[in-house]
Amino acid sequence: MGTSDGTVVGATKVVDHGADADRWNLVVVGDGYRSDQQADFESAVTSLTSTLQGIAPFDAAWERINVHRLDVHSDETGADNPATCADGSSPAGAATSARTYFDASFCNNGIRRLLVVDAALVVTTVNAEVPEWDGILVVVNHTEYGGSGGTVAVYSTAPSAVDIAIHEMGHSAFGLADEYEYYAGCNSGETDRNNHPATEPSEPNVTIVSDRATLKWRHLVDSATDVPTTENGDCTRCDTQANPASATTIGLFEGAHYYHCDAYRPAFDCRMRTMGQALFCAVCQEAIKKKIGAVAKPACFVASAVYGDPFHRDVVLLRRWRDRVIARGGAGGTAMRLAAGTYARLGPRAAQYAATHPRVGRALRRRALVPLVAALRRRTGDLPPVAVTAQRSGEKS
Amino acid sequence: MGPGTPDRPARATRLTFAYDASGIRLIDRQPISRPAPPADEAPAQLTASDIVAELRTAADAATYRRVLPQAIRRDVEVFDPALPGGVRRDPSPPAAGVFTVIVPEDPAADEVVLLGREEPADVPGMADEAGARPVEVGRFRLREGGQAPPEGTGGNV
Repeated sequence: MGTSDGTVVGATKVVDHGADADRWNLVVVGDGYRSDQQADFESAVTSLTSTLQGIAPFDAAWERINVHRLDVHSDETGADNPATCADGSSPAGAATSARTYFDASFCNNGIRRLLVVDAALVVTTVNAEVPEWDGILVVVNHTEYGGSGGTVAVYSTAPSAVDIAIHEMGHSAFGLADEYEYYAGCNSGETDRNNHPATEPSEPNVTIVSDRATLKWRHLVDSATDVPTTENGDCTRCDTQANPASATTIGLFEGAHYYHCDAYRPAFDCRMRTMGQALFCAVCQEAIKKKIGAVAKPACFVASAVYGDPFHRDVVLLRRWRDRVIARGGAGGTAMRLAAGTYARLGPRAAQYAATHPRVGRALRRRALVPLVAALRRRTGDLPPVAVTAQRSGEKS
Repeated sequence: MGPGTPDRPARATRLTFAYDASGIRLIDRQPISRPAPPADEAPAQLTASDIVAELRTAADAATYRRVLPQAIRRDVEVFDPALPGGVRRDPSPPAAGVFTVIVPEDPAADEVVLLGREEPADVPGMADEAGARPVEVGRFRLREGGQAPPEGTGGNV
């Protein structure tokens, strides 16, 4: 079992936006892939990367993210998935047993869907290959639906199991809480989940505070939105009322953090509440951007300082326009590359000046950046990120 | 690499800890080319899952502190498309786990001390309510070959 059941091949940076020390680094590790299944693993990583790139706020933050694929070949394909499990379930297909490098197995704690790996081995392996990692996902080459969380998020290749990985990354990499209002389930008969204890959770996306003036996400609540936005009329059960607001409204919705009442979530629904939900709520998005911004340097120093937000739509457009001109090559690309190099040296000082001289910053935004962005947007619309090519991690970017 | 400041050296070390029923072990020290995050304030109370990691000098003075929420998992999240919402919690703790902390390179610090809540709550599924003040649950050498206490001194988790 374990390291005798396979080989660590090495890491490849499949999304390369700069030096690892200056970017938020996601490492995707495979388990249960034989050497002849390398293409399948690469396909799984490409699929994950595409999915992530389409989800806010990762879309706007994409240029501050590196993605590394850690190739590990196991002696056998799949994972352990026994015929019987204490929860009384049977495997979706035939029972399987496989000698894999990270010992992937279903039916942990007597729960079929609980798919785990040797997390300590995963982390020490990733430490050696990509020391500046910020998030680790393990994709297990098995089609039974399952996954698990912790420092290492694990998911299988079953359809939609990637949502498990993204939800768990919300916990492990971004410090988000679960927003669902039950523990074992709304229909589980649980009786100890009526009222949340009177202790404020430390996570940014759940609260026991119902006062608009002191609410931790008050800056995102429109003055026309009721606070609380919904209240549960029967604390002995989950609230079944429909959303009285729009899907993206930020307010104060009762029922969160494993309790029916006295705990609130920012939005009616969110990826931290429901599997398959497409959106992270705006509060979660803000928390994710804050974590990414804490480790990843802004590429547009002055614009980030002037707008006060490196993920502002205008800043993102400017960055992507620059990357496109560079990617096109030719005289324009060379000139832009030279300008970008100079800017990289001088930009931080200019940004600091703009940030500490608000009148200069405001004038720069109004007279230079806003007209430039408007002209660009008329010409190109909002641009998607520039595609990048894979290279072996550790190679110069 | 981002430049460091006098308070935040440009380089840091990622410490990796593994835990199971026998206790907590320091299993890896990995240098990284990035400053450690700013230090945290001392928490007034911890949940049963939280760990506080402190760098300590030979005189046992704390030079750096990080609060690690949910470091020791007391339950598991279960994903099942047949469930409403597709997800629930189960109060059975995982048999083993791992957590990491990034600390600054500090020549004055000899050890890393882990603090946790004294006892996990004894009510299934209620383990994460904030409770008692922190107590030491492990003490480890920061550098290999030092004279600090032997590794693997972590208590039960």
